[in-house]
Amino acid sequence: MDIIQEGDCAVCMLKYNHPAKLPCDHIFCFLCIKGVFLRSHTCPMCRTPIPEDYLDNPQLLKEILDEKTEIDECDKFWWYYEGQDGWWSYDERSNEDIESDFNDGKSECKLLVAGAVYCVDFTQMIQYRQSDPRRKRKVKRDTHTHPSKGIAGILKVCPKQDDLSAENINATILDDDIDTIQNIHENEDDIDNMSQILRSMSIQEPELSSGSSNTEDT
Amino acid sequence: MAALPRRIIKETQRLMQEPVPGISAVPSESNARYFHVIVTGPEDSPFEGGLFKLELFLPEDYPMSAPKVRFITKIYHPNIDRLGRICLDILKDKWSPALQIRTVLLSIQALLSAPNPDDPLANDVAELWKVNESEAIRNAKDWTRRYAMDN
Ligand SMILES: [Zn+2]
Ligand SMILES: [Zn+2]
Repeated sequence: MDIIQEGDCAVCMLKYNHPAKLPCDHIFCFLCIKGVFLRSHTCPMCRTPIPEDYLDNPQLLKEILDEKTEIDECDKFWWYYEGQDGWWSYDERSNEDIESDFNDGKSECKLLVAGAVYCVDFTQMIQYRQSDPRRKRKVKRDTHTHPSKGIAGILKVCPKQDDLSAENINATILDDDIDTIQNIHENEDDIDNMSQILRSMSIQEPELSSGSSNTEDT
Repeated sequence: MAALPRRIIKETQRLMQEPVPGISAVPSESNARYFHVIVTGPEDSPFEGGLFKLELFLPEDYPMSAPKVRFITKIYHPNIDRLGRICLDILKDKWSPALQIRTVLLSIQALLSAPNPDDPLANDVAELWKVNESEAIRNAKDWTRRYAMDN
């Protein structure tokens, strides 16, 4: 059956979440590969280049289809975010985090998805990128049977019956989910400011107002 | 506040449960992404007997980008400059998200055992290391005694 490596994904160190295989045979979560791809285009384990069109044609491993249908409790809620022409389901892991923060009465939930931090704001029911709050999407909480385009940017495919036995399923990935990374700047002198940044982060407010603007947002 | 990614929690737990010999890394109480690190100078190196303090910070997009690490204790080493910055490929262009805090610290320890003056950061130190290695090693021992042994 599946040839999923023992253990956890080497990027997030958790159980594989939508496992996908690179041409070098290394397996990671699809979202982890996406995060890697947006930066380096090489396999985290062996540095083999990842094909340019990989995100459009990922080699998803089998268990993916069953995941959402496994959850059969009808009262279970799921979180969705708006895409260009429909709603996307969050992946299971993010969904769990959002739902738990929501139930705890928090006003927001922060997610690390594909290497970027997103914030789900429950008061406005939007999601935005922490590094660029203008990149907003609507979110909603609905029954888990609500129709969606797919999970976390992996377009739902309806394989023909006989395809079900196939070990790997090729799904299509819609691009409206892929944000360009604007905030990655390899600043050589970054580390010079490190102590200052660290100090302003770990100590409370007073130090922050020292003139120079180390922090990028807000 | 922002939840700490589970990977960081896992790595921290492992660092505590199975520490790397000769290295201690303890997260700050006020910021779980900031680690106080102490590296013991490796045996048979000019840094032997010294305790070197470093700071390690996991940026927001870690592990997609590398931890930021810096020596706080002054050290005479061709790949570490006056500000404590470390010239190590895996902290720059050779970073991979499959590497971990543990691997980074091991690499830094290895760099103390095997200085590489051909890929220098601290130029004058590297220069001396190349033209007069014994004097450079004497300086390194001297700095170790002076800055890394006091407490
Ligand atoms: Zn993963
Ligand atoms: Zn590989």
